[in-house]
Amino acid sequence: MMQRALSSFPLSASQQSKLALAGFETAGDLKGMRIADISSELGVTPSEALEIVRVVTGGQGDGTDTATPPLHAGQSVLALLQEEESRGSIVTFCAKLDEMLGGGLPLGKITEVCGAPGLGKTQLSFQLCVDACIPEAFGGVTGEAVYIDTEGSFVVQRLAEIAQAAKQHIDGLAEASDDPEMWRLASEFTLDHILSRIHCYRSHSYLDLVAIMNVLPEFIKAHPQVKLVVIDSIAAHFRHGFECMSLRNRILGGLSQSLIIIATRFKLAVLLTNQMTTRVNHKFGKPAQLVPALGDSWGHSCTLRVILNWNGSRRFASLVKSPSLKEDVVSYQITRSGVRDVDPSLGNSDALNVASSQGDVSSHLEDLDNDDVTQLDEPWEEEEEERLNMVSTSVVPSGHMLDGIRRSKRPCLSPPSEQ
Amino acid sequence: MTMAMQVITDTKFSVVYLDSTNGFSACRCKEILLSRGTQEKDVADMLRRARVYNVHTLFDALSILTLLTENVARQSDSYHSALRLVILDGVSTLIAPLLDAKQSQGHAMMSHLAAILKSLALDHSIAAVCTNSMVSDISSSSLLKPALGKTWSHVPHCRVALERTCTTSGLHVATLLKSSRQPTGIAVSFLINQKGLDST
Repeated sequence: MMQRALSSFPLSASQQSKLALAGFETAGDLKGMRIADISSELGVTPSEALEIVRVVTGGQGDGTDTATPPLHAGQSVLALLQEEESRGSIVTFCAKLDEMLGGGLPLGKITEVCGAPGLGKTQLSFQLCVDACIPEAFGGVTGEAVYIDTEGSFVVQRLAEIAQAAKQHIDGLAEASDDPEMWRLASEFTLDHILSRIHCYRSHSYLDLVAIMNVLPEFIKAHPQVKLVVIDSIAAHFRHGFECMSLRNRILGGLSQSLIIIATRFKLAVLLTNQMTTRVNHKFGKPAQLVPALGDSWGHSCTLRVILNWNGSRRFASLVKSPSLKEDVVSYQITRSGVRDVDPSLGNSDALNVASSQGDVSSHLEDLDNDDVTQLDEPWEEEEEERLNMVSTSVVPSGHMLDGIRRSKRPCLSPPSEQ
Repeated sequence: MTMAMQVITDTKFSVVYLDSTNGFSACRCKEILLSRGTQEKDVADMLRRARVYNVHTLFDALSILTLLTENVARQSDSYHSALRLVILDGVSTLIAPLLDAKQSQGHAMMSHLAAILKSLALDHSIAAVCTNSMVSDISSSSLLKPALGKTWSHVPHCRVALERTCTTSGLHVATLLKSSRQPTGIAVSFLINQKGLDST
């Protein structure tokens, strides 16, 4: 602290020039001086002088050399190991996928899921939001989820459908275990309970997204149970309309840093979905490849990366980047109940092959309203209003942060845009 | 992570790891130690000799490095006296937000970081290792070049590029780009497996 040059601190340019003019060069030069003296030497207000001293000494206003501030306190790897071993992960209900990810989506890390349209990125996000609410006794993390929707693909009915199937699964587990405590927890795990623990934000531009990221830490402090933040998708606002690529990279870099800070400070999992783009390699005679969007510099920002792709009519997920897990490829399917393993014995009768063309999905949603919905406990039409009100709103001061649910009171027949 | 674990197993020195990409995994370190032959009972002692700091901004990294320099200079405790390796993971993640075509603050910060790392390395006999990313190179014949440009390329004494040759076989290649002791262009292939980086 003593010998560090003042120009290496995050002070504004005017403050830097005033310090230089007054002859202060290192942090040690400011030590032991009173705020009033500093403000008269530099020609700034006492509050500004206090702020400068705070920045230079890392949070202590008295100008003395201090021990490492709490934020910078490192820890020994042994302590980190014990913490990591006790940390849970959020299951996806697809056993192979969980195995590939080392138990599920890891808490405290950022996971990126990239895929072409129609592969199930939004479905996976819904599944993980529901799974974040599963009580610990059933292998979950007893948490809440925040869903940030940038594409308008949030459909409550589908989320409720997945939640209902999850509830049935949990009830089945409780029945099999025959433990009164598990029964009690399963009976609390209702559709209303799940939906009230998923918070939805809608963002219409990259500025909205940046604003949400600024507000998110306070929101999470007010809701300490939040264990998952989903941004679906991070690429939507950044692919068009950006003339200056360096500005885009800087904003994305800032976003990823805020997400890392939120993930490590609050020990929650972050899921980002990304789109795919084509890389054309004229020069080297290689064929065009499908690569994740947002460029190479974004590729370094997430801790884990999973790429989804089609192989024939089956969906596959490949883990391509992870600090601690082996690379692997597994297959999964999207069913009426959500994301599940591919079960060869079951055949495809239960499978919902969500085709990439939007027409098929919308016809499915219409069927959902008209069918005899014996799979679900309550008929949709009557309870729908209550469902819509159950999903908690985001408490954000800025007026145009809409709650995605209150947008429409009618079932949203426009299909989830799987971009 | 492999480097850190190797130092801990072979020597009695301690290691500092500054993590800016949130990619450090203690479970993976333990796996590397165990598959290199360490006994389960020694793992705890060994892991105590490594410390990890989460750095989110360049200023955090500068504060921690300054503090480390002071502690090493003062030989304040056994951990700092035995410190011989400092790893800064993700230098491009830290510096990229500050690089702006119009202002020169980014370049000034790079010089500060370079000065601190050099003083740690030269004055206190510590090996300082940084990881950097590669960006696409449109001008020359190779596909990729190191990020952060010419300013940063003058800072390290030695530079190694890691590439993946073929996705199916899992083989990687390390090429020496810059060195004052060896001829450049030497390449070595390696695998990534349970032991971390392993020779083929």
